[in-house]
Amino acid sequence: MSNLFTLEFITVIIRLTTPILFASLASFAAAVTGIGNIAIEGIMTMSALFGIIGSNLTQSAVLGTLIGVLIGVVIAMSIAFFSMRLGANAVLVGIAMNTFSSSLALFILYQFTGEKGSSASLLAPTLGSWNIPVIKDIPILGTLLSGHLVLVYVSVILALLFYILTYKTPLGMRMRACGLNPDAAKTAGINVQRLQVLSLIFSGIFAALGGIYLSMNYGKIYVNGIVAGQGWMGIAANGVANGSYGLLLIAALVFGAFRAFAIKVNIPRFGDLVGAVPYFAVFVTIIALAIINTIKVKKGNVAEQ
Amino acid sequence: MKKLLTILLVVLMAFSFAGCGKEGEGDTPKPADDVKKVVVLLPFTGDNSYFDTLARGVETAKTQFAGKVEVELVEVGNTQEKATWDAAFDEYCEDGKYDLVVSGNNSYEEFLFAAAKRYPDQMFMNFDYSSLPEGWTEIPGNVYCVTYALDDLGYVVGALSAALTKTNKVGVVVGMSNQAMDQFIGGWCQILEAQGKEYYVRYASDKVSTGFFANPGVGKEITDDLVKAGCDVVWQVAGGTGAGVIQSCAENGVWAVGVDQDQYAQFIDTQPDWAAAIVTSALKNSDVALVECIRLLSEGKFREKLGKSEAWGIALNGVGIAENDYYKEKVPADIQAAVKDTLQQVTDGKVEVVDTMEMTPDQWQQWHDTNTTKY
Repeated sequence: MSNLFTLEFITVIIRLTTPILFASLASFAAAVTGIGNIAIEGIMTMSALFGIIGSNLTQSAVLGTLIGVLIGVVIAMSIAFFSMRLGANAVLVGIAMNTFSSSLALFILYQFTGEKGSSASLLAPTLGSWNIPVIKDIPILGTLLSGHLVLVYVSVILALLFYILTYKTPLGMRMRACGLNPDAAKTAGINVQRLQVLSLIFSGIFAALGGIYLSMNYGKIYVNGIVAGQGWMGIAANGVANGSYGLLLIAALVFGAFRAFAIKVNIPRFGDLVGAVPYFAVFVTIIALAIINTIKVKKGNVAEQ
Repeated sequence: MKKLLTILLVVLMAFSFAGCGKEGEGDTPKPADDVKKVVVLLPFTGDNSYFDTLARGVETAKTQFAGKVEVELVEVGNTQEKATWDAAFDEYCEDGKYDLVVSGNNSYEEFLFAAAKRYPDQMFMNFDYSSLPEGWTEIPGNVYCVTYALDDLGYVVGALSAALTKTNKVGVVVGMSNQAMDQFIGGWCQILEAQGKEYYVRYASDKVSTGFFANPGVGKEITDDLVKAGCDVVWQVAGGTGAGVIQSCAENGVWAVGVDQDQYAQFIDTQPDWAAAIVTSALKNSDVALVECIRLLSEGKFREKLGKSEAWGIALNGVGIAENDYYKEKVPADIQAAVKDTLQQVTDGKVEVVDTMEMTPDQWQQWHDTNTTKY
């Protein structure tokens, strides 16, 4: 238990929050224009794999990352194509993508390596961590701010940039308008479909980075099943936030903290039970918010959604 | 258009019937009596570990007993669905074409036992037996079960770790908390206890829907903790999660011990800095018993083995540690000799190794409680 109240524990939380933050951003980015992207888990899986394969083929971690992101964008575009052009139900397309991705990833891994468990036999450079020159020498601040994995910084910067894009630019305002009332937005002369495709592309990029973080930055190897529900946690965080950007970040952080707790707290005999805590936390949060919302609606404070 | 389609369909059907007939005819002349047929049912291959070792065993048997035994490997699918496995067993047992049907391990042996009940005349082999499935009181008379002396293996790894540690603290990361996994660490705990070392047992408890052994990140976090606690030799018994254990050991400059296969050889080309941290690996040679039993079958001696389970220990080369060049280079000669000595003692049965498979979970817990196990 004593290892919970240390500075290192905060860095562990940061490490474990990052993939969930990426997934949350991915879910949020799609939801901004009113699209429910539930294929985040699948995109993360494919990008985690293609990041490693790309890195193996090009022998460059950065190019590998770009290839992984490209795959994420391609999947997001295909969701847009199926649901908008061909008129399929977006949720069903998402489910199809998730099931399809996990099998396809296995198939591709086998084709490339002859193995089905991991990418252990692929020589692939991975991304490192970054020590901020001056700050790293400051006692407490140095541990907190410096020496994190590269994609941790990227996630924070992207979270900030996406906030500015959504809330401070005309483009963001139009995107939000699509999400709030697509018909009104259309009447106002906004090309709703184009903005929805754009937001799906953002979603694909975020999800892809989340997957790449797992296989190329946090871990240095792709293991079958590596995403392990973290994409779904991001979707849950977005559900909890219900359109509020601040709540989104807090939810991602809370889920990350619960994961860190589950890994670091070691209670003999109850290890598996503690391991279920993060998933249970997601469940409880969603139920609690639903109840709070119902009470508010009953009191007449909020219009029924 | 419709007519064409109809004709096509009729032709197709005719062909498919013809196909059936042919297959049936081809089957009737059974291969000459002296050629035995064996089928090995695995969920999948390509895990770079356990199942691949068995697949290699199949290849060995194929070449070694060419002309005497025909060995087939079938991948049933990475599923624990009863229907799938029952259908697979039905397919290979129904017409009695195969002399021996091989399958098993703790996740799949219940299907093998069920098949053994349905086909009492068929011979079966469980290549990695862990416990009787629910509803069974004894091993049926048409099944031979192989177990591996993982307890002895753990004991030897423990002896090596105890000799290598400079901080007097060692750790193990276990992929999942159950009796079959604990068999790895029973003997390990025992010898470390006896030698007065501090030993830490950590389970990679972050289990999720997709599987227990696929979380290198968790393995790394746990190992970071162990190293912080002072451990300088960490054994991983955690499959894919173990990649994180080895990564952490490499980053922290402590020794890692691999599992199942020679992990130094596995990583030397792709992650040389990881390989440099792997002093040796605890080998589970799951193919040895398979090949040996196929040999017995070809000599007509396999039938005597049915109805019981046997442990394949160090003497039978079922388990062991990887004594590769790196091990010989990095481990001092006196420690190597001591480890060899321990191996010999265990083989000769001079030490009584704690076997968790023979304990109830409560007894095993009690063992922990009365000793100085740290979590």
